[in-house]
Amino acid sequence: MASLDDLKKTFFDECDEAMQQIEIGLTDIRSGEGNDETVNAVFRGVHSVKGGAGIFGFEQLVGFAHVFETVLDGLRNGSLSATSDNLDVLLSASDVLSDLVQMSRSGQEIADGFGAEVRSGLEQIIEQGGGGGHGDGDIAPADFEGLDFMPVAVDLDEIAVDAPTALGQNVYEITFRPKAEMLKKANEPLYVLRELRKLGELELTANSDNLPALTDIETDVPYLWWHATLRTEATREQVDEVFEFVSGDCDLTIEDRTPAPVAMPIDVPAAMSMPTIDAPPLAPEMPAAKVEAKPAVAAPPAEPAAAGGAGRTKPAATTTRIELDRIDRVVNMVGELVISQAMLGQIVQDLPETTSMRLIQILDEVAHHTRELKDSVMSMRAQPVGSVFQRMPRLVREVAAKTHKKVRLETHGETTEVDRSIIERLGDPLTHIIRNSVDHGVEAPAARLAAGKPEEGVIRLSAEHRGGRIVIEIKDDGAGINSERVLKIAREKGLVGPDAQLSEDEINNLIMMPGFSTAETISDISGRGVGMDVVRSNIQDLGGRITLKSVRGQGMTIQLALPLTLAVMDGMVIKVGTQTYVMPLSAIVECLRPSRGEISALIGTHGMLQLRGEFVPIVLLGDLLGIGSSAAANSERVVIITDTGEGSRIGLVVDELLGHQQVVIKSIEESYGAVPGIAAATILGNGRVAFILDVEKLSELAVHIPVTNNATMKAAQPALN
Amino acid sequence: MMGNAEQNVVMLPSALDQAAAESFLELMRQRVSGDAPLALDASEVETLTLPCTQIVLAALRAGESIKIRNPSAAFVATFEDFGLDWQAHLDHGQPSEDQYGTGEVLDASSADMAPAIDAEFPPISEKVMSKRILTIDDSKTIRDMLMLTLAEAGFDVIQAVDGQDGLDVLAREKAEVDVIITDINMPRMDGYEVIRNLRRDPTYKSKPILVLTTESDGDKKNLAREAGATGWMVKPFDPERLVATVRKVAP
Repeated sequence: MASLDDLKKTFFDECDEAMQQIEIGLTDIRSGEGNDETVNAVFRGVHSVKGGAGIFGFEQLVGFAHVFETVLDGLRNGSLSATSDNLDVLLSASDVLSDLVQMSRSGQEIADGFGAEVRSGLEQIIEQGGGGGHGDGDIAPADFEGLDFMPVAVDLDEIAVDAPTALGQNVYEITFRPKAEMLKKANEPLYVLRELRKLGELELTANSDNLPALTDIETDVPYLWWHATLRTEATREQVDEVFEFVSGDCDLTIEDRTPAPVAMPIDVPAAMSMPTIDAPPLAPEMPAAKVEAKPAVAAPPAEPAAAGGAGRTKPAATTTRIELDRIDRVVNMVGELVISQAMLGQIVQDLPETTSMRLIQILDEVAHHTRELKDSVMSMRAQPVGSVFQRMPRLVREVAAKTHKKVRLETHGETTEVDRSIIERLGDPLTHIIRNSVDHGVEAPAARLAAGKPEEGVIRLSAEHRGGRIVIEIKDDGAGINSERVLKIAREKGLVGPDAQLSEDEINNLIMMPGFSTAETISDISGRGVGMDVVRSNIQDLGGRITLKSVRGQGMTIQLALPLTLAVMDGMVIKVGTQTYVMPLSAIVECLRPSRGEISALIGTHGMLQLRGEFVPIVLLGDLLGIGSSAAANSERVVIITDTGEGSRIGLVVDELLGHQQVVIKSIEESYGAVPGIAAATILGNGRVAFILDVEKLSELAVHIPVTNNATMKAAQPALN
Repeated sequence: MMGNAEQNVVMLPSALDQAAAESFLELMRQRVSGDAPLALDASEVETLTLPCTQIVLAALRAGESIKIRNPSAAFVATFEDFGLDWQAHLDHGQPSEDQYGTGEVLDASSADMAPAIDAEFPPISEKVMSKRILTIDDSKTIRDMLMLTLAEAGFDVIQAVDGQDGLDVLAREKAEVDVIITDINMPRMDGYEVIRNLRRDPTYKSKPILVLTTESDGDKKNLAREAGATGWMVKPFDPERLVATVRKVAP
């Protein structure tokens, strides 16, 4: 059974889902895409945060959620309208709520006035519109105070019965006539009377005058009614509580016949009936009692029908929760399966062809199924990128507010799925890029108007699957990169040689060099020198590529291409000397066996390969890896052209291509630490361990100062031609 | 007092709750004719609530010689808690033992031989079986919390994730459910709809339904009441109170 800690974990998981629902819903409503069900969904989200928070005694969370919920309820029943001003407040409220959830999760102390500004904004909305039918905004968090999940065990009955007699006795005269309605709601008069009896000494007289003869009696009509005298230490509230569920469905009178105060030891007026000394443990009854006393307000009749009706039109996908550990275990098992299958393949290949024919056929099928199995399992771990995207609207709002800019964020393809291990590590780079876009990319409103652009800048964040990768694009319509300034700074900082001739694109890519930051005034939002270079290395760590395009005055586009998973990948198995390596297929552009004439020697390089009119530096992989040159004859060697995604290609010379294979990625960092040029390891079909090469790093190793060298290379090109 | 037991003794069923009222009334109407002597054997009665109590009372009023025999503890407790007199109707001429409660072995001669041993033994009954509760809530936190609390208090708990699922679970499992606890705000089908559906269903017409919601204002509660909810719990609640409320409607 679930423990309290498990419950808490579940609660916060649910909060995450709810916050996503809220954010998406509000954004949809704002963009005019929302309907009644959207509002309902947002309401339910806030509502469930509040409900769970109450259980764990997160009072501030409950209090804030309550006010938030009240406004949403007004929106739901039409007493409030979704004006853009109101939506702004609601969006900030969702930010505050999210903060409160985070703080509650980490057990942080929440300052008293936290979110007070937004809260009073919400309260203002309630005042304007009347707050809708939910309007008991006065049931403030105070009502929940002291209500922890496990309060001191207090038996309500015992308090009533065993309380010291010194407190004096109250006497109530009660008449109780149930109506048929009571039975229809499955409220049994017997249980009500028994509850009453638990409170103290009960003298009960049944009146059965109305009971008809057996022939006329009906089964769903109460004929009996009662007159009772109750002597009890219980308060009037406790007596009322007994009838809480039935008071609307019976004729009930309760009269206080407590004797005059002479019996009372102290000067408490009789009207107060009973000093509420034992009140604290009974705190939970307060909301109920209070509410009971309220006159019923006319109910909005359309609401339940609308909720039910609209709800049915959108059937939810049936889901089940599985612990991530379990899925990860399956992923690992599939990994092992891939290895075993590769081993089997190896053995089968060594068999005489007569025996192997049929086996190969079957093995092909096994390979096919394994791949499908892998895809299915990976899809279980896959999550929509929406979970990362949903954090961005808030970021944009905050940064825009701080920089006094007007920016709108458009998101597309939120449902695009990618492995959760990637999702987890995507947040920081995306945050950084978007922050940069708002801070540096989008111009101030005045500047935009002057440039003939609309006042409001647009950042478009999109995701899509493209060729076995997920491509995430962040595009703004800002000023673009000021390449002169970038080049100036790069020269000042010695990142490029003073004479290097760089193309516009190359200059723009300089902003991803370590130690580069262009913001003239370093704001607290972005630009502390730790900038795009960190983003780039983050993305590269994920096996991804980042590309950047900028058009002056029109904006900048950053594209992240990431693998869909970090667990299994397609690799090219290669051989250098006696060693076998795996190169990620995604890094390979083409493989070729050039003739001697196509390779030109150039001082300071291993050689240049002339490839369709372009020169590509080539490097002996054996040299790079420090395992020395191979024995293979030059003419038999293969050049693998790799692309590191920055337009800089490099040819790696290997001895032999052994074939294309799916490999399971096994981290070596945990056991060995990071090894430059080696990304991970895998187990091959023959049971041997092979390293998976980190092509990006290898290219860097090959070209010590990549940009300048690259530039010289380009500069050298015409001369060679 | 000798006579045909078949004619003169009616064995009262063990469950005399609201759901059993119609058939019990039918039985009484058949067996009670005028003032003919009749013993109502109440030894097996375990549950007795108002509708059937009224029927018993009406039957006893049909004639002086219609009597109660061997009342069980539950029968006595119900009458006393209703403030009704049962002793005046007790069949004093009969021994109080009825070992097997079949009613057929009952006559004076056999009763003389019957050892009075097990009148105190509680019958093996539903009482020892725990009450089963269906909880319907779209929040896993709340579902788990209910499960944790109610299971600890000795209830048997089954769960549903929204209103539609709740009805499906009941239909699919043909589950014997004693109490239903439902949330109001849920996707697919809300709590009101659940209550309305269950109140239309003869099986669940008289089952207690508790509404569980953070809505603390009168509107939501009244809507739930109109739909036929038995009672409500305002979230947040503590375990003690939850169990107390459940016991209030289904002791």
